[in-house]
Amino acid sequence: MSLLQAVLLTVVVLVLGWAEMWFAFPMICSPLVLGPVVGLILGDPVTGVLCGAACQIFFLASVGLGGTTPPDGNTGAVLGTAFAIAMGQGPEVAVVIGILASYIGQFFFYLSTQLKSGDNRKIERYIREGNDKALIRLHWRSALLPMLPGAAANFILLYFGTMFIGGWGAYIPDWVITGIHVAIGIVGALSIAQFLRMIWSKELAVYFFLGFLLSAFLHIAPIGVLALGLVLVYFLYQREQRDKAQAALEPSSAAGEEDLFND
Amino acid sequence: MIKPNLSKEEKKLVRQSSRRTLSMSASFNFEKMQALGFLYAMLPYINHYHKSKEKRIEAYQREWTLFNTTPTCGPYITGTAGSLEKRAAEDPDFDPSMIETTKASLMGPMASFGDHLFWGTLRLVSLTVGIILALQGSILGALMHILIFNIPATLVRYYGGIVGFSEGTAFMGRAAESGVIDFVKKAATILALLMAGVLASRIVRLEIPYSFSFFGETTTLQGLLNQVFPGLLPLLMVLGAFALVKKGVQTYWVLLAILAVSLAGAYFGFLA
Repeated sequence: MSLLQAVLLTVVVLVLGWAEMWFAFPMICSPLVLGPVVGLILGDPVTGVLCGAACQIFFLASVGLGGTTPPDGNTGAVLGTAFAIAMGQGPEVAVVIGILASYIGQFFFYLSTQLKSGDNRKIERYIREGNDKALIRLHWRSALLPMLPGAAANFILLYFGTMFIGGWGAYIPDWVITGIHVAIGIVGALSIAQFLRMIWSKELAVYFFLGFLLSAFLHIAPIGVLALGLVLVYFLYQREQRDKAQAALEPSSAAGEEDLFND
Repeated sequence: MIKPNLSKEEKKLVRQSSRRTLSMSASFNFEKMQALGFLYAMLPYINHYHKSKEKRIEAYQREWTLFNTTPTCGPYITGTAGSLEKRAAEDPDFDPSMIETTKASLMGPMASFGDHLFWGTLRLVSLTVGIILALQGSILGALMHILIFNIPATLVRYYGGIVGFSEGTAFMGRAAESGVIDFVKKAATILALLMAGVLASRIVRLEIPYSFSFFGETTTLQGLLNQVFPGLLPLLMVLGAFALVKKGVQTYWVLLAILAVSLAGAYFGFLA
């Protein structure tokens, strides 16, 4: 990786990371997007896309709900993809390096959030002074500056790291690559399971099987299943409205109570 | 469902504040969470309705309290708080402490609704479409992921601000009563489960290159399975993993075990 590429990559990743926070998580900083970005800068977009997808599968279910900090799959995807391309390898290497790098990313995310805590005393003072301009400046600064240590670490790892182990790609035995390839296929099941835990309900579980059957037996593309799903949801909505209208017509005691509260 | 009755000036204020809620998490810290981001989004309302400096400082103070919610649902809460700031400025009998309690009572439900809707379901839908395109080496995967996620999110943000300002908490009451919130949750869950099923059939794979003779024909176990029930193995793997996850097994150890078994399988040739 040339110095120019390393600088460009660091800056682009920093900007994307900042924009992800500043524009309410528009998903521009997920492995699926970062892979191709790294690939484009390093001159191998297709490998980038494949590495991004593999990392995304690995980090599928790692989200910070309610302010927790999971391993940072985004940093993982950037470093994983960059190292894989520099070593002349593919998604398998990207995933392994990505897992290690995600812990580095998690540390720097934690650090950046800690750095922002130092602002609270300043905010209190600005509020007492009624200085809204200073509050705005602080909000802007607090969104960008604490990310710089992480960006610096990224640069060092990208530039010197790939320089150091870039040539090691040839020494990885084939069975290791095959093994990781197999592992990625199995880990997908774990990622989906973690997602299922968030959304599973006995009443609706049948839709999981429906999606599976539509895809495995009828080979309908994901976007097609999504479109079918939207039609289905609309149909359910109509049915619910009709049931409600019918319930309102029937002179049962429940309907009478509703009328009472509807004025 | 939505019948905003806002003046041109109010519309401008709502738009301005809603746009600022985008960066609600940007200055997140562990002590006050999104407090500064929330205040930043409230500044247009506060500075518009409170003319004296003392009133403004009072308002800054009450809007800078611990706050945390899904940023996409933020505009509804800033809109609600904004309309209450307007009342606080116009009605001397209005108790401003109500703003704080309203804010605090909305952020929890909105966070659980928003996390479920955006992080749990919509993200899974957009990722499924994206990942499967990307696995074929197409850059369209990344683009579809961004598009599918952001179109609904932008709509919720835009109308959230308008509804919050014009109706405030009354909207939540109305929506809960009409069952629309439950229906949206249900619809999102249905879509996400469908897509989880698609993912299970597309990204999970396990190949056992064990071959044997079957009615005089050499066949692999895998080939036989695929003839009877394509994707049975992946489906069972997902359900098995789900049972493990539900039991509360540490996924870290499961990951290591998967890696160890896969490497051993590749080394000794019983997995490919």
